[in-house]
Amino acid sequence: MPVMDEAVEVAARPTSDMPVVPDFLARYATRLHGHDEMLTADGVVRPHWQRFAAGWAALGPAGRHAAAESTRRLLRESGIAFNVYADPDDRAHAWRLDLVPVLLHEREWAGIERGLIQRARLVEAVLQDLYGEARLLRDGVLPPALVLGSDEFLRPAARPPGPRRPMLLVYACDIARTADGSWRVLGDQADLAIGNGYLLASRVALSHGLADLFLACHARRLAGYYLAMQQALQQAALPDGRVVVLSAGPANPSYFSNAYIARYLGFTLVESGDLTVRDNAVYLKTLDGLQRVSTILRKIPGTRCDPLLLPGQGLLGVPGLAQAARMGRVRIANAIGAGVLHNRVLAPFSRRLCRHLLGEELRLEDAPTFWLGNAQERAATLARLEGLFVGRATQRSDPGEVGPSIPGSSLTGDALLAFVDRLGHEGHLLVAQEPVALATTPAFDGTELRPTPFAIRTFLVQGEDGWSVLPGGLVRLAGGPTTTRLPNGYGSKDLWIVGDEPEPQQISLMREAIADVHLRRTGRDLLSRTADNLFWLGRYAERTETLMRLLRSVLARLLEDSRPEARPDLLHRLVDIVLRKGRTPATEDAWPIRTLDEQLGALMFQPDRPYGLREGLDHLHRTATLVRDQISHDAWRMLNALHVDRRWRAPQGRIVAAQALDLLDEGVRYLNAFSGTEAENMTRNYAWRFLEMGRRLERAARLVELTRGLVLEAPDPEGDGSLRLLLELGDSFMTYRSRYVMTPLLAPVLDLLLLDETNPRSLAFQLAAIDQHLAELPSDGPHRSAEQRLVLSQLTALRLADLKTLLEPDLLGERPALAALLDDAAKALPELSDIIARAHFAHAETAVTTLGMRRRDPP
Amino acid sequence: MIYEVSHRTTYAYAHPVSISHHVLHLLPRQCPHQITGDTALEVTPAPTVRHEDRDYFGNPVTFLTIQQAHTELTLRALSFVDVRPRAVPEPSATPPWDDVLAVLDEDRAVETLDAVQYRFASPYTPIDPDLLAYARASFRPGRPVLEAARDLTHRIHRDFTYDPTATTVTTPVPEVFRLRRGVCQDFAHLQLACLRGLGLAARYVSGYLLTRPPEGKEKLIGADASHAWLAIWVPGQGWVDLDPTNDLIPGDEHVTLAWGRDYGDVSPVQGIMFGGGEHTVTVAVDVTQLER
Repeated sequence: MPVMDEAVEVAARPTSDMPVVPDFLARYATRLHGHDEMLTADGVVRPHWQRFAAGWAALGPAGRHAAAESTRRLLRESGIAFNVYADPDDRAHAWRLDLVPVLLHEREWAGIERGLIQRARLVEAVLQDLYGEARLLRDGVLPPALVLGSDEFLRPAARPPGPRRPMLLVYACDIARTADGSWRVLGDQADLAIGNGYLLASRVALSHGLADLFLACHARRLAGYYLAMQQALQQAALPDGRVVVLSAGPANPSYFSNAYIARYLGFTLVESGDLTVRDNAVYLKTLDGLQRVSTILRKIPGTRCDPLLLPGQGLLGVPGLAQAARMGRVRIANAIGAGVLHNRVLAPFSRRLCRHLLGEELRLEDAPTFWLGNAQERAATLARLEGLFVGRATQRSDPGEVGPSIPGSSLTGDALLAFVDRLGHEGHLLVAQEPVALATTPAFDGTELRPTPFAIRTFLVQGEDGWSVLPGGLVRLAGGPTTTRLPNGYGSKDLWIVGDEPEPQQISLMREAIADVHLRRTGRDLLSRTADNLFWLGRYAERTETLMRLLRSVLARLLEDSRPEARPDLLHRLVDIVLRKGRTPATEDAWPIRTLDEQLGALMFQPDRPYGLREGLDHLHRTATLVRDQISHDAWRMLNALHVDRRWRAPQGRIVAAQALDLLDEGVRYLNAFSGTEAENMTRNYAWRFLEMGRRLERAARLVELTRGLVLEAPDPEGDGSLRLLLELGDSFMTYRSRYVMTPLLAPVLDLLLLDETNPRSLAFQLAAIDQHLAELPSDGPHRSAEQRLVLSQLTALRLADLKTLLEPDLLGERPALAALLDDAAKALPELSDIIARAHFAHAETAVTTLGMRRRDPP
Repeated sequence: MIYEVSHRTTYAYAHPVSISHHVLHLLPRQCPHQITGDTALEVTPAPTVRHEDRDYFGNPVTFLTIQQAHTELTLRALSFVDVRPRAVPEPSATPPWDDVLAVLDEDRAVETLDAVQYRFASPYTPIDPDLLAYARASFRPGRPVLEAARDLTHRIHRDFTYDPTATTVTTPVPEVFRLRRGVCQDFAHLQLACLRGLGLAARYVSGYLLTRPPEGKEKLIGADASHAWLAIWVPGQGWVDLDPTNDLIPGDEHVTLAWGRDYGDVSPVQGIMFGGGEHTVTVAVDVTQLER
């Protein structure tokens, strides 16, 4: 789109008569005390920032506010967080993105790139040696204790000398600009490169929020890098094998990042329990059987990959995985064992190693780091503890998950004695670091720009043609002027590598490659675990919607009590249908409930009210998170919108009835929209069938529950407004009116809601739909399965039911036939849920036991 | 001395196991004083995958995957080994233990580098200050390393009670130290933790011991079992075995199976299975002397 580019550029182009320091930067300039990315020491805007500075000034306060809002909205909708389950207002788990990116000119970046590639080659070469001939140890280049004493030196990864595949496929390197303007390495992310997904989500949000500026600055796009990453993973794959991203699950702080990158690259996101090793090969457990996996991009530490070969780590991981990799039947990226060089292990030796292994001078120096495995360094460290930080060399320092690092100044008295003792027997695992004084970059606090210290995580991928560097990075802001590692807890920024000219277009390549991957998804490869989660997503969506409808009906009547069915006793009875399910002596003690208002408040706002709305929304969000890659982006946005709307979490009593009514209306609309996108946009694959079955089953169960409460328990269902309520809750009032044009009577209402298979809200319709879905699932033989038989028996009971008999009252005025039918259904539906779970989700279960033989001695 | 070693392990599961993966260290390794003759390993039910290899420490290792549903697993290893008498250095003539630390720190010879990896804490041998204090009573400055280590072996034998009921395979070494009770595996780990705490190199040895039948009685079949001891590295002499359970330096009555940093590296039968529920294990070991 060259024409549009031109237009934007004109708007943002700096004019020659612009002041050297624009007014809005005058205050900024006074706060500098070291290298700054935007301003020179003389307070002049650096040339590669000028387009940005001009555009930023042109935005004005209103424009900046709009950009910030738009960025924030996109970020919230992406669901980015360290804890994907957390309340989105929870600052500890929220992802904070600064509106101003860091800008680096591509000429400077080219130098950094060369340094990063050298570094990646160095890490690879050292790993090859350590797990091969180990000459570095024999030749005295690396101290043996550094490697042989490391708990991340994984012996099963060792190979006989000879040609072997690279151990690294991805690599991340944390770097920082020092206050004097030079670059330093803070850490090698050799085992796992975490944070790509955060980076990508941030870029997507910011390049929309600041779209004009992004184009005007000629910022480099990231697509080419991800294409290279996708190709590298696919090149490593066997023709019939798939690429999976192995994550530690949603409880892990980097889950969002890993899920996002898996989805973006078009690879299946799996957990250990989804994989099994057979015939020394790795398979994915799907609904349709086992599917071969040939490449694993792992996001779990190498030490947790295989409980069999790496004992002492519990039962985490995939048994047999290390052996499958050893036999060359699966490629793991990065190879198990790469963690031996994770973070700060190489730092004290990098210069010497680079000369020794690559015959080159090190381009990117390390931040000063000392290995505490030898007596001299130990003594030197103890002598000047004050200015140092000590910690494990292989310590993780990923966004949201940073291991401890001890300030030397805190080591006094007993703590010092304990530390000296620790040095004695595990000094070889520890390093001491001098903090690096950081350069600053502008950060926007909502009003003005402030110089803020920062560091960057860069990402690299190794393909057949060598290493490629991501033209960007994850910028983390620091809370103080110095750091020893990638900072955590003070927010993030995007990094724009900018050029003098616009970048040639390359995006179309990416689209084709991604589309190609998606085409192979037929839906038959649904993970058993995912099928389980989809089923429950369907159930929770329906359960929540039913409850919202119920609360809405009651509130509407309370507000407008002129209607005949606005009788308090009726409304009480209705609310009680839900309320009694979660009632135990304990809950009653905690929440004594007397009035209808209190009942409604409890159901709507009490955080841990069993079967309450808060609980329903939490479950809904949790299951949606687990199957995010199975539902459309729009479907996710509907559900996430409910989650991020803080009005649902308002304290009880803070919202008045009319507002609550609006809120419920909105909630029902979102859930309707969710089921609409599900019905219209989801492929009719197994994923959809399980979602549907869950929804149908839940709708049937809730309808049976409501009919029992409103018909069987009502003294006069035809006279007290119960039937009208039932029709409304069953969303069948209009259908009824169009057919009968009269006040609701028992026989036609029950016909419509229970027996009529043409009414998509009726009990019979739900059962018929489940029956149809079950028939389409993979089966073992020609016979009806247990779940099919159960559905059929319920459906047949409805088809054979005679309305007259059902409504026949006995001597006490009760209706035993109707009661029997509903009781039977109320029992059968939960049973059906269990049978479906056993039949289809069972092989996702992981019952694992280690065998360790007890030693006995001779008697 | 030529031995026939039969090691039979049976797992009986309460429920069928659908798939299981195993790593076995059941076939004796070659070492300077031990020649391994014919060996055989029978597995029932027949494994789908069976792969023989050598682990990082040079021990024979067998990988198995059993993919048919089963409620019982039997592993039967049969081997013939010739154990030769070995020269044991005179303890008082070995170098001072503090000098050994310097050799381990500085020497880069292949044998020394191999020894270095056995100096550090491992999952079963954590470094513990109480253990270290206990060890120091034997390791006065300047004392010959083997003399001191032999003294520690003797003290462990004297201070600890052999009690198969006191500990399990997961009891940590500091707990064994507190209880003053355990079995051969515990005593081996205990002495390893002591020696490594001092900075010396010592490794875990898994194997068998010929039990002397009581006077006038036939040797009971199945009475023997797997055994464990340790070896300490002495510069210029190599590895010297020490058996704290029996307070001796092993000779030709100890059959070596495998060695590693601790039990976790060389456990004879290790496995992960899916299903199975509760299980019981029966182990029968026969070490029969064929000829001198």
